[in-house]
Amino acid sequence: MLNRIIGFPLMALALTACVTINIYFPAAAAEEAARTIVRDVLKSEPQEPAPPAKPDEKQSYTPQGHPLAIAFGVMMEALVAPAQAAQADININTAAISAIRASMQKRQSSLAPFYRSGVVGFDNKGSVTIRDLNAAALGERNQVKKLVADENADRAKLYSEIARANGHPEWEAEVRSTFAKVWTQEALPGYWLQDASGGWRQR
Amino acid sequence: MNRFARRLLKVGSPLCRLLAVAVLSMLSAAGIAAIELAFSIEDIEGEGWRADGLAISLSESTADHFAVAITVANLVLPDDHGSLKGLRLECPVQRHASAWACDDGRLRLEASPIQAQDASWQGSYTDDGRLQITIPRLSVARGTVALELLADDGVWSARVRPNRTAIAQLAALSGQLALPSDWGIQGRTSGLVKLAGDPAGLTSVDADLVFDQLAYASPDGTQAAEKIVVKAELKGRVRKTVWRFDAMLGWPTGALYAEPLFLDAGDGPLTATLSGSWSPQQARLQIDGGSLELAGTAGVSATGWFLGPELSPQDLTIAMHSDDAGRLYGRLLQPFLIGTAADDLQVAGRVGLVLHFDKQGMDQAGLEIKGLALEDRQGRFGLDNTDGSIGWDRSKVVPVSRLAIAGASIYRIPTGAFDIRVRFAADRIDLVEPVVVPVLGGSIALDRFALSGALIAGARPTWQASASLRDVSLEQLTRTLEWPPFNGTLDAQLRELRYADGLFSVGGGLEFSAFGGRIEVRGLSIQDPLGTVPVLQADATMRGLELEALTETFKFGRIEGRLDADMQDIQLVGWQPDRFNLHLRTPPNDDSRHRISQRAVENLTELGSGVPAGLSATVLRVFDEFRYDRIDLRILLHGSVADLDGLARPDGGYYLVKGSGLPRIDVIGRNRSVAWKDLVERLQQIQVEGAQIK
Repeated sequence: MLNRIIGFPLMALALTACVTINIYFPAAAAEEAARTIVRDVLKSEPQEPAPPAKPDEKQSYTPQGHPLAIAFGVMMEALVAPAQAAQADININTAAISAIRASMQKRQSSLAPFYRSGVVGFDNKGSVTIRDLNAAALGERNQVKKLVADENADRAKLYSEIARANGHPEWEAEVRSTFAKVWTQEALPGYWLQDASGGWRQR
Repeated sequence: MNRFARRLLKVGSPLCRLLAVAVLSMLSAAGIAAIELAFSIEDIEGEGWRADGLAISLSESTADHFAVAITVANLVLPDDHGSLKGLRLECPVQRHASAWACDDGRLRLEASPIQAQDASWQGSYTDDGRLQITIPRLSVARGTVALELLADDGVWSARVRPNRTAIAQLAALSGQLALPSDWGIQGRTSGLVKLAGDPAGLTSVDADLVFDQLAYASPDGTQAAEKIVVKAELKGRVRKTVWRFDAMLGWPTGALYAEPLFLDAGDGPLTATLSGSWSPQQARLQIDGGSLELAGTAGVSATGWFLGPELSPQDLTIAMHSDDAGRLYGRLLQPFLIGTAADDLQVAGRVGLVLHFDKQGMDQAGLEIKGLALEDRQGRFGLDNTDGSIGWDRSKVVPVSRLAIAGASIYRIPTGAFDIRVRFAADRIDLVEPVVVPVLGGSIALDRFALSGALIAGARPTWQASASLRDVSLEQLTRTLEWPPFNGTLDAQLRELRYADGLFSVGGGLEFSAFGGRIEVRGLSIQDPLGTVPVLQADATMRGLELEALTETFKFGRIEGRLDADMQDIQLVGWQPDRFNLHLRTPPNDDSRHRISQRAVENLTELGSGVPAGLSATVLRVFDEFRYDRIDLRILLHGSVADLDGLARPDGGYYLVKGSGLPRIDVIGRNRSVAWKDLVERLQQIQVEGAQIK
């Protein structure tokens, strides 16, 4: 009886939580999507295993405790799972996103030498920026400027397109900050990265 | 010298505190008469300068020979030019005819702004007041400088021959030229500078200098140079306070980056000349002739005059010509266009440009084009052989500008030759007559085009146009775009074409005939048409299409009958469907023959469910075609999901095709939702007669 008295408000609370969770930006899924795109662009072999997806986390979860609590937990998991699944559904398979990815991928081979020489670095806003133009030969400087302008135009399009394709144009800033983090994490050795305070370090 | 003597000789003056001791002694020994004079001043100062520990000694060996030595412990130079320490000037003086000469003088400086010196010098002074001094070699700015000075009754001339003197140090020495201290400026100069003057000041300058090994780099990398050699010549003469000058600058080797321009003299050296006059009193600069030639790229010439402390142009004409517009674009224009749709072009042809400026700014411009061709390397647009001239005038109506264009292309769609007659005046551009562009067997006629707000700083450019399409072949259009070929022609009235803030929009509608029916597209707009991901929006209605022609075109399996379609809220992102609301249906009261082939039934079924109907395994395989009553299909695409619907059935399913007669066949849908990519994949997999739908 006590369990039921305690259980219903808990369940109600949990169900309410299930509903409200959907309005939040699906950070984990977005990060997964960003990682897929970033690795694809950088053509990097995964240096470390990607963070496990949510279902894996659930599979590794072994309930412990009172059987009633376990039953409630399992029931809640069943209820919450669809909400989370819906939340995790970040779509990056649109024609526009594919076009942008292809464009960025094509550019990567031209940009890579400038990433390595420190001419261009990944900034803390999900864009690339010219950090040391003097490290580029005089004749290459306008090429660098064009590459950076084109890359940033594509990246801006990519972030807005991902937000739009998932029905939430207002997510653009969060998509961008997610990408900013993932670009930094996935940067190849030798690349230059800007930290939150604006300082630069080489990976 | 005792203290008494010092006090005795002290001179009190606000500007000059003189404390000197003179010792005069006459010695005589062995019948040789000699004079030795030593004179010292503890300190002496004038306006802006000061000398400490000045000593002058003079000793006579014969009547025609004596030696002079001047030493100064510390000489503070005027105008903050630093100080000379340990100065010693020695000179054995000899009397020649009516002149005193010093053929083997010595100058020593322990420290000075132009470093320590130990130099020989020669000098002479004639009785009529003519002075000549030569210092063959002074160590200056890591190089050497030879000096020659002549003065005669107030008229003077000087020759300065720098040899490999460092530019940065020279600039610092001059105190006039402030070069950025953090640019790491390197480079040296050699040559000859001849100066002449009279008591009123400088009267002529002749400089012939070579600057070599010139290099610098600003910390932000926006300004840099490497291995530059520059040759400069300047001749200047003053007459009645007005300077006349001729200058020449040659830049044969080296590379320069001045954001956004990169110029490598190896790609074509640069030469510039400038002749004119400068009146400091009137602050008036007159350019009689100026030229700048970037070999193989462009030449610029200019005449005019400027006035005031900021030298604002009063009457200035600049003419530019290029016989290689490709190099002109690559070297001088493209850097300014980075980040725009015009930053990756291939250009050829010849251009000439004349600009005139008055006190208010540019008031006239003329552009002459010969054989100009440009092509976007990403294949988005291009212009073939174009000839013509464009005139612009800020205030007056100018003659009509004409352009004859051999052809153009946009998104691989080529056009035929066409002419443009247009009038450029003030901030407006108006068509004189409609521009008719032959395209795809028909034409686009640009009936009206008006641009305002261009070419005026601060104004916001806006343009409006209207155009009409006549008899444009859909067959040619679809073939060019590598779509399944349509038959028919496109006619359209495009009213209120606009382009603003990256959005191209069309008022009115495109109306065209295809597949025996009429198709009308309205509300067409394209955001960012030349960007990576253009977004197209439109609504379309189709009436009375002949299904037989349509299904034949798309190799779908033959269907006969007519079809109406409404396609609302179309959105293509990157030219791919992203959103639309499509309703295909048999028109009401359609009395045409309604037949659907077995293959079409199979394909429709597979499209709806993902699996074929398998008619060939049933008794129905003996029938090639079936009669149908109505076709009705609704597809609502939103993002990655397409919702499907048709004629409602009581069992919850819906008819895609409602059959009639016998044998009756209905195509019934049950799936209400399908992933768009699955639907597209199914469409692509449908193959009939070896053809694949793309």
